[in-house]
Amino acid sequence: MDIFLPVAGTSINAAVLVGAGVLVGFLSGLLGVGGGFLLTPLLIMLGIDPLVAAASGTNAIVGASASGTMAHLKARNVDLKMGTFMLVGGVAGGGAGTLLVRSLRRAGNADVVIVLCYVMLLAVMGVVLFVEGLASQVKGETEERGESWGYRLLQRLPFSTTFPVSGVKTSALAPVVLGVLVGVLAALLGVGGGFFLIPAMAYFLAMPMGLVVGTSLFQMLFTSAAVTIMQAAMNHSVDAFLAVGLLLGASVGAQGGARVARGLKGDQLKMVLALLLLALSVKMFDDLLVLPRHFLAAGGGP
Amino acid sequence: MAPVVLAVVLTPAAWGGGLPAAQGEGITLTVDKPEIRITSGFHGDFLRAAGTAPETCDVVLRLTSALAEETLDVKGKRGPFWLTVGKARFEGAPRVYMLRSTRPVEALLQPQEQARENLGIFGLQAALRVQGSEAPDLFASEFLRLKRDRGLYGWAGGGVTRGPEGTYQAEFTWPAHAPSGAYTLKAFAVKGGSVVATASVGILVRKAGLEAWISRLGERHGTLYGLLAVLIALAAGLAAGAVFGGSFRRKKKDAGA
Repeated sequence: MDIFLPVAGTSINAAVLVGAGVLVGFLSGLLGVGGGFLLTPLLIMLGIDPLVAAASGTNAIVGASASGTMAHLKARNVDLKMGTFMLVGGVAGGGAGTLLVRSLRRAGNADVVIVLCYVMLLAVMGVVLFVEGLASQVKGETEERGESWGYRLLQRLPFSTTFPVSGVKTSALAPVVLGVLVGVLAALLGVGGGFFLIPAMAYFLAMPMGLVVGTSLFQMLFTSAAVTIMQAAMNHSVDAFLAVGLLLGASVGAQGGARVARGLKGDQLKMVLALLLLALSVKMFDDLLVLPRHFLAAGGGP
Repeated sequence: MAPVVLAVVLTPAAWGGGLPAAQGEGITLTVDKPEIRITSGFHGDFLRAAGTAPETCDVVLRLTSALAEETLDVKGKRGPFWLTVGKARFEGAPRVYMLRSTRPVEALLQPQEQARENLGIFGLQAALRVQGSEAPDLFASEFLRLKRDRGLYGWAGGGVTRGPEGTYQAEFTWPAHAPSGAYTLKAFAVKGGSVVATASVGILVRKAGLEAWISRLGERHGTLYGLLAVLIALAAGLAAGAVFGGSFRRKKKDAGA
């Protein structure tokens, strides 16, 4: 059965769409990462315009983070004050990112920039996952906690604020700036930003790990909701059909992925997937260099 | 759907009860559907055309959308990457152009005749005007190639079959991504190197139902559309969480018990 995507302006096989969701959900359940960074490149490879792929990916993340946020709120795993500061930054960054997408689109190079960002992102993710897998192969988990160098650095910034739930005292600028970065990433690439936010919150904000996951989900939910609305208003690039189809698949896939992850040796698997990401990065980079079939292309208008 | 006759017969044909239609030089044209509706399940369509034309004539069918101005990005190499380096404007071209004929148009009409009737590659090239380029001919042929590769243009012809008593029929494959709007199907009777009769039919392509509502909302009220998209995703996400999260937890408990 085919579905006509009203915003993407083309039809896609429903099984392919839901299947893509299942695959991304499965991998994200397996790896314990968000999966937004896999979603957008997969949609691009299915022939969806990079702008629509990124914006619809953000739309899907709203749904994907909803039930997790609810669960963490119920379990009181969210530092609402910290989350709100990050959210303010996230909305500002998302707005800036959406404007950036619009001006890139007018210049006609939004697709190249998005794909190039993905080339770098996938390469970095691949290397990080590979090293992680390798490190835990060699030795056991070594978790460093306490006051990091980054945390002490940020404390020197003005507007020192206490966050009682997390039990930290840091500059109010720190969570806002983190939020801005995530917002820009969300608008440009359609990612939730968990892969970057979670380590950054632990390192720079010195938040306890139990609160990091819940708080990042909380801010992700609202930032991606805000970015979805801004993308729809400014760039008309959100395809809700695409997002819902992916969500349906992803929620099934995530269950399977999490189950498989429990039964398998994670480290080797992580390394195999890392190599897969690196290969994907090389493939996308190569596509940028290949002589295009046409020297004319539909663009974002005059 | 019953055939709808919307033919305009320029040369009066000898119509008579029980007699073969379209004696003389006339041509008639009917299509199997005057309207194509793009709904949620739309994945392209077929449009069947039929009619009568004198057996001594060749038949050419041309399906076109209204003319539209298009501004396209011009790609160029900057460093290792292919980037947009400029814009070019194309005027006088329809968004969709498809041709069916009993024989290739080149075998039926001289280039100047093709240009005048807007038939075939010469017809397309004659109508197309390029702005913002120092090599308009190169850009024009690249434009036509792009359109053809996207499945929106076809000028090769062929595909019209003749039946008994002057009848003819042909089928057009309608691509899913052809834009909505008003289309015109025009039939040409060609004899001795010139067009002797024509007939045309209008076809309306429009988004219908949910599809129409969503794309209108998306275009005109982007913020509202975005808000709705967020709410739908939230509902879907929470529902999926309730279904799978719940059943999964239950299963784990069962397994533990």
